[in-house]
Amino acid sequence: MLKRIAGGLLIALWWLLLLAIFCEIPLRAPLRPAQHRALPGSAFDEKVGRSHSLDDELTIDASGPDHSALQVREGESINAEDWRILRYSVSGLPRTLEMNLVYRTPDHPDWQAVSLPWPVNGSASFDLNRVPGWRGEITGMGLLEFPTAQLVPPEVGFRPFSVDRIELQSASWEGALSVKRSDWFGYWPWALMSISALGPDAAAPRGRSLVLMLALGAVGTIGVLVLVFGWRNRRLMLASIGSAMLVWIVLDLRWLANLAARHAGTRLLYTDKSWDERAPLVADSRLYADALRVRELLVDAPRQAKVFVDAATDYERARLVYHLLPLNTGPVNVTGYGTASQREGSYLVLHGLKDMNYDAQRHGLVSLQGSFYPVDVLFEDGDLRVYRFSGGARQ
Amino acid sequence: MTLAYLIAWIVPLALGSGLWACACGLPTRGASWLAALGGGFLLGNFILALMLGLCHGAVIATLFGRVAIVAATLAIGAWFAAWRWRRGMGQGALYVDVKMSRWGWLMLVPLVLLALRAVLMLDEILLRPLFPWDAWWAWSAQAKAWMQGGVLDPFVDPARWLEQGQTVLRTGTAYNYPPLLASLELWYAMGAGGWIEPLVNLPWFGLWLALLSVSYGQWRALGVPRPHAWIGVYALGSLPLINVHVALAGYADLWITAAFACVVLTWVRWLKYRERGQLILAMTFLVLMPLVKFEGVVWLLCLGTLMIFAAVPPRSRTWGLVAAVGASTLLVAVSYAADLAWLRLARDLLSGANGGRVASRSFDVLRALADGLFLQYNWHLFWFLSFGVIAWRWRRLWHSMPLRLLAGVLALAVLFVLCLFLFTPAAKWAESYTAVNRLVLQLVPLATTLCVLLLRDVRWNLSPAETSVSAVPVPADTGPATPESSAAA
Repeated sequence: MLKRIAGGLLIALWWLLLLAIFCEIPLRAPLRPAQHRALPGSAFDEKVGRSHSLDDELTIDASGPDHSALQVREGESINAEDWRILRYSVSGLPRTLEMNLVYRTPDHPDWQAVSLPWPVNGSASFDLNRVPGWRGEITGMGLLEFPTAQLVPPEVGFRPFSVDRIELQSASWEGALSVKRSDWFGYWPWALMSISALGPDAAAPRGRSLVLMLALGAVGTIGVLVLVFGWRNRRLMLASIGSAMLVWIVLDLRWLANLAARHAGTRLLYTDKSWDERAPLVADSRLYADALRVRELLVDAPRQAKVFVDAATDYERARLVYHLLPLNTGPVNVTGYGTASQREGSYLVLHGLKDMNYDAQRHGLVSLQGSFYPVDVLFEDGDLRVYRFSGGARQ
Repeated sequence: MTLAYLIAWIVPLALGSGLWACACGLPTRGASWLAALGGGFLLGNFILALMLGLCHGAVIATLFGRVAIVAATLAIGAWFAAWRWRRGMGQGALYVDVKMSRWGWLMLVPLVLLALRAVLMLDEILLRPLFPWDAWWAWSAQAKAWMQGGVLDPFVDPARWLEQGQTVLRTGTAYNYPPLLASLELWYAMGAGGWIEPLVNLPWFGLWLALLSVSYGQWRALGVPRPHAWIGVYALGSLPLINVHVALAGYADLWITAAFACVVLTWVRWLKYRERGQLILAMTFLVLMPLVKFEGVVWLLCLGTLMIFAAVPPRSRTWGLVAAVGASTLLVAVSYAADLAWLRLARDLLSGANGGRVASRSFDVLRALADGLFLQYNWHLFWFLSFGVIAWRWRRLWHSMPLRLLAGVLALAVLFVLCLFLFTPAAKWAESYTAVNRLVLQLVPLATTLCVLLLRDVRWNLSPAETSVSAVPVPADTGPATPESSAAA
């Protein structure tokens, strides 16, 4: 009997030890936060977007011109080291929006942003220790929301929601556990990185791994069963298989919940829409629209007409090439501009590129390196420019 | 969904499974049907893509009908041949049936969990426009150009593209990538009647089902009891990174993963039962792998070397090893002489010409690898358990030639991954986590098969008396499959 109690205690202690290590519980801190400072949503002012206060809540009605919304509180200083946990409650935040903490210090007067876990069931907690810049005097803080990067079309990402309450807490066991709950069981939206690794695909800083904790927990449990209870052979095998299956299913249920949450975000954007309606709803919807304009412009161009494509970033260039299909595109980083005779009569599509400027007097494009390309202007509208090559290059 | 799109699904399935049945015999039980349909889905799609690849310059408007008729005719011929000449043949396999205990209903839990994710993944594919980077950068760009351009124009290097005359030549960042997947996407786009990305991506869901089906069918034929095979299927089908590659369809990794799985599953059946049809299938999938993705060449070299080694009689093993190494060297030499794209890519990778950098510290690479395998949320407990099972069952591994060979392939592949990331500029993509897990993904079905076979005779709920063994009639060329002979495997 004593052996059973000792064994049971050892197993419980092992799991508690793991929980303390993996949840990064501050052992010297109290169970509940010694200090906390709660601010209602209405204590924040809109900086970007449109909002109104209702009771204690701040309802964000519309986003700003760049599709983001920013609510801040300024005019009083706090000491960063006093506050370890940020807890925030919101109502009706759509899964298409990403939430960020913004803050500034006397050394960095510009707002700095840190991605936060999406508040499942309306609230979430975040460990401010993970923010390298959260040090010393904080002169202002707030929340920034914008359509999830790489995923959500900016113009349809925003829907009204309310900031209910923001709370700063000193270090505590309860706070550490709530941070872990948000980290391990929160909603992490799809990202381009998701196809390569789950975990690093989250924008917010993450803590220690649940997988490793459960694996070590299972191994420790089996170790106690062997060393204390003397389990061998069939019993040991059954315990090992059983615990492996149990841990696997726990991890799988967690993943399924996450997959369902990611899918709920997808449904929010695309459900009940035909393919023609969904096709333009991509994260780079503006690039898509610009590409359609170019396709319409070049609709009568011969099939073999070469269309050189360049843009400000690799991502934009590659996306533009894809959206421009079936034009006979060639990304300039791969094809170069060829010789004068090779490009004569071909087209050039530039997007957001600052190092190629049109010289109206010389009727050509001049690169920052000094190359000159004679072209006819077909179209110029902000970031989007389309030309037809008309002759050779001159240094 | 149109009739043409339905045909786009049925034709490759019928063709591939017909050829599978031709090679291995007409399926006679549930598991062998699952193997034929799962493996056949992959085989049929590859063959159709190869057929399309031969149609350079073809007009898209009439291509679908012509290819569908040829493929359907081949499929009917294959099924007729299987029914006429291969009935009652093949499956020199040993199916171990165990009576379910009173806890058997627990097997429903994995089934429900798999079904839940299937619904989520299916709906995700059907709703979302093409999302992952390499998909629209490489394969889908080619397929979209063909589909919307209306002609199967060749993709060429930039120098030729710049020189083009009246014939339309296309280029792109991934102009030298193997075109098999792009052709495959074109097939489904033609069936859908336009570039409708969710319908082009839907085969990734079929591929997931196919991978699970062929694994289950082949494991059962290898003497794995139903509960063990079920758990193996659940383990494989529930891996998060595999689910991601289905839900965010568009990458080639899952196709090469499935091809790798088919090589392993058919090869190990040949090793055990000496069924010639299984060897033919193994060789076919082996040759197809480099056409899906360049790393297929490396897997071909790893697997091919051990396949040649295993094929020669034990007394000639030294010569077998020499032959295997010779064949590998010859392949590399021919690739060099012909300036094949995979070797150019490998050269660029090793020289750092395509943007990589050598690891500043080996520890960083190893840590990134360990993070990917054990800490991140890609694999549940898969790699913990795989190493655990190999350690626990090492005696069984040691005494079984087929299992030793499987472990050898796994070891070679892991060695390749380690060398690639530790000593070449590819280290950059390990440290950034962008490549390491996707490369490891391709080894997962191999590791799963190894573990399932190692655990095959572990009985956790039964006494031996409750186990029954049934062997399907054995063809003349496969040798007897008895419980005694199979126990040695």
